[in-house]
Amino acid sequence: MLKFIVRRVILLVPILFGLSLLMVVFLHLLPGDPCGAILGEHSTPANLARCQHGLGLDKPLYEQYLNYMWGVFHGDFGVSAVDKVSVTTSFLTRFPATIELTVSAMLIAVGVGIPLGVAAAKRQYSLFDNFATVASLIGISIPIFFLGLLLQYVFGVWLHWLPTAGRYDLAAYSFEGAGTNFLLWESLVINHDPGEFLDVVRHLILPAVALGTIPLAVVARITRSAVLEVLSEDYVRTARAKGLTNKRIDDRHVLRNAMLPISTVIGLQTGLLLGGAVLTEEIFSWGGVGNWLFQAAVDKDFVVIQSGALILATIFVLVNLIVDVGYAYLNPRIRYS
Amino acid sequence: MRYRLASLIAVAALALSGCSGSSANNTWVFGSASDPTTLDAILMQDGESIRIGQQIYETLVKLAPGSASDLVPGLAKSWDASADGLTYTFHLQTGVKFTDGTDFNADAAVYNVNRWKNLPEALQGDDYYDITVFGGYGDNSLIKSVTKVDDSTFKMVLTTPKADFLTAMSLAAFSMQSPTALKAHNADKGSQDPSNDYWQKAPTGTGPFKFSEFVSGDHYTIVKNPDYWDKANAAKLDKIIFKPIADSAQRLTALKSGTVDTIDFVDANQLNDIKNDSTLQLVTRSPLDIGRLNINQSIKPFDDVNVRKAISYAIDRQAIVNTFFPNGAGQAADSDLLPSMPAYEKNATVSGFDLTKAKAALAASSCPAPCKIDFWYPDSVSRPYMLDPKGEFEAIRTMLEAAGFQITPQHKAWKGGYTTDEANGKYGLAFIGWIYDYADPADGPGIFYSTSTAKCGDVTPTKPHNCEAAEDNPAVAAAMAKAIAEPNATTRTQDWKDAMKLINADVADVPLVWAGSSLGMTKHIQGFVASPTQTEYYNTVYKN
Repeated sequence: MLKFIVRRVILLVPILFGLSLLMVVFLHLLPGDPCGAILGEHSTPANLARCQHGLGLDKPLYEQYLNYMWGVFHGDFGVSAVDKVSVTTSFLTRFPATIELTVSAMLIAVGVGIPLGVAAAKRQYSLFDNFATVASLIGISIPIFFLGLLLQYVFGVWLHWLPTAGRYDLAAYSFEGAGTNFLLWESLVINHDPGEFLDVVRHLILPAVALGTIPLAVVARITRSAVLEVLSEDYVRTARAKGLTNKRIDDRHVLRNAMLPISTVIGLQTGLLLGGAVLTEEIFSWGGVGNWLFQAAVDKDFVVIQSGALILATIFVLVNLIVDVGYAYLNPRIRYS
Repeated sequence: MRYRLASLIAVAALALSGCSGSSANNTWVFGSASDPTTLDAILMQDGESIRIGQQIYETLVKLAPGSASDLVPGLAKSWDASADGLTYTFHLQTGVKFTDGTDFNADAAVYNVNRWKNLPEALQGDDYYDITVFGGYGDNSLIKSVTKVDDSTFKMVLTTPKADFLTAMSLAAFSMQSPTALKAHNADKGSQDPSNDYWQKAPTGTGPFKFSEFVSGDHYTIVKNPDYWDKANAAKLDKIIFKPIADSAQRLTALKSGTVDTIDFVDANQLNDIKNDSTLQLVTRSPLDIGRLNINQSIKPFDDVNVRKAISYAIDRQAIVNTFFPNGAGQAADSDLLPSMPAYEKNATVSGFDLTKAKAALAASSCPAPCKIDFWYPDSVSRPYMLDPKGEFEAIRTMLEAAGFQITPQHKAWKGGYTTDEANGKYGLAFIGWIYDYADPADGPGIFYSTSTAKCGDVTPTKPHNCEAAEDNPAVAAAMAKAIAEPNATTRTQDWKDAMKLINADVADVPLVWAGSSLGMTKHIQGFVASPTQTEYYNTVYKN
């Protein structure tokens, strides 16, 4: 197992190197550069030339790439050309926001999706099963931006129950000090303020529901089919014949075996969401990595896009590695060598 | 079990039904369009940076609240200008301290001015206003020298007269910053050097507010400066939080849900929504923006003045305004200048819609109908003077085709090379616009039609050249130079009228619309004085 993990981690090096090379080539093939975005109406040939010189964009591409990689090897991922904040600072500020949103969305997806899928499988072709199937189809099909706007209008503008932007009530609370940017953790464990914690939760509800809907539907559908497949296995019939209780059969035999495909989907969905939920973060003005990278792409902020992609690719590979290791725990027959 | 469930539901309902929105009384949550990009004052050039900089810094002279041209004392309580317009002596306010506790005096002012004159090379790539106003660095700067006279007096000498010098000094970029803080936080090392944390950790001025916290992508907070020197104009609010919300529709939702107290740059189609909401108020700024079609005379057939005239006559500006700038969001423009400027003259350009004249001009040109031209518009952008570029393009295309033009549509993303290519003179006919920093022709046509030897893209001009419009008429250059240098206001107004007559006779561009912008705010926000320049002072704002 250890050898497997080490090999996967070593594989990261050529993956990241290739990715960095691809990124730098493709980004510079696209029209425009950050100077046009920065200067806007103020663009004049002289202003553009001075800006490009300041950012080193007037150097040959290979030199820009080598300078960039030299920085990366020394732990310096560069500074945004547009907002002038270092990539490391921005990432460390924003990634906790994305993690909180992702974990909340996945908790909703798993917490509702798995029971829904199991219940649907156990009542195959019943009214409930049909309802769950239709609901999950709608969940997969509904565009996030539409759902997000709908939730904002109903719960924010109409009912005034929930806030529509940001991570907490900026006027009422302050998170200066601890600086982890994990606000649920800070409010509860460091600040010991239940009111603050509740406020953070209130801000999380709408974006987490919007973001969690598609994974929820996917998890529910996969769970249903996985459970159905396991239910028809000989060892389940044997267990019934042995007189085991339904609960024991479900817990020990059905769910555990069905968890393999489900955990794959959960891992993939989590990895994708950690890469930034662009639409959700944009709609709810959630200061996460998705919002950040989207804006960087619009602004042609090369350094942010390149470094963000490298960091996120690393995280995606590591999350999948964790899922693979999780397989071995769930199914002792799986052995990596 | 039942009771436990009931309790849970009750707690959840209580939590949900808590009023969403800012609850602290004396804190103003402002929904801005983005984070600031720097708060090193001399490098500020985008609206969101200037918005914050205007509150924590102060300039020697200020624009009067709500005005785009009237000057009032700032950190200089008075000033004298020599008759030749070259020497300015500033008499400074006394007893003023920066928010780091150090003194603001002539030494600090001289340090700041010297920094503008000799801007470190590492900062020059981020510079805009310094180079635009002073024209260069070191010996090439308009600033010949700056010297301390005594602790509260200093003198600036210019190399050539610049009539709008004092007005330009009211720009937030020319704010006074603490030399101690600038040095301690390595501000001169440039934005790409990680050791420079000045603007993110310690931007230090003398203003009614001071820096508190910056969380990139989430908020920027400033708080009341309790030691502000001008007690009569001290901040009424304890705290202002700027929350970046990029999308205008999301900003409106945040306002209506109570998540923020105020939003800026309300879309034209949202104006009635705010007007009709009894809990909200709409604050509209007078127009100081100009939407225009740039014409590059070095690209055929736009080198022919009759073609340019035909374009100008063919466009019904009022129809464009009625369709794309509803609810008073814009006015049909007949000049690059705005009516609020003394040099403005009504109907000075070939601006009246007249299809017959348009057809006649085209027939008399070197490109008779069907005259094939490329027409450029930007994608993925909305500016106050250009709310729907594609829609406006389609409308104008129809008008031009009616006059005998055959249009080939061309477009590019605003941030995907459009502004760069347009500035480098690659487009013959293209949408563009301008947001004046102050009401002076030098800050509009003085920039649009200025000439230099800078490369136009890959092409190096052999003599001073205007890349964007190729407006290289020597008479225009001479008239503008005279106007820019003239210290007497009355003579200067006439000089600009003369310069504009020449520019208009050339049909150097096609002015389309004068636009302002609007803010939406909850009714408990009071004391906001809107400025056409979009650079308001927030010390007067309070919540009731």
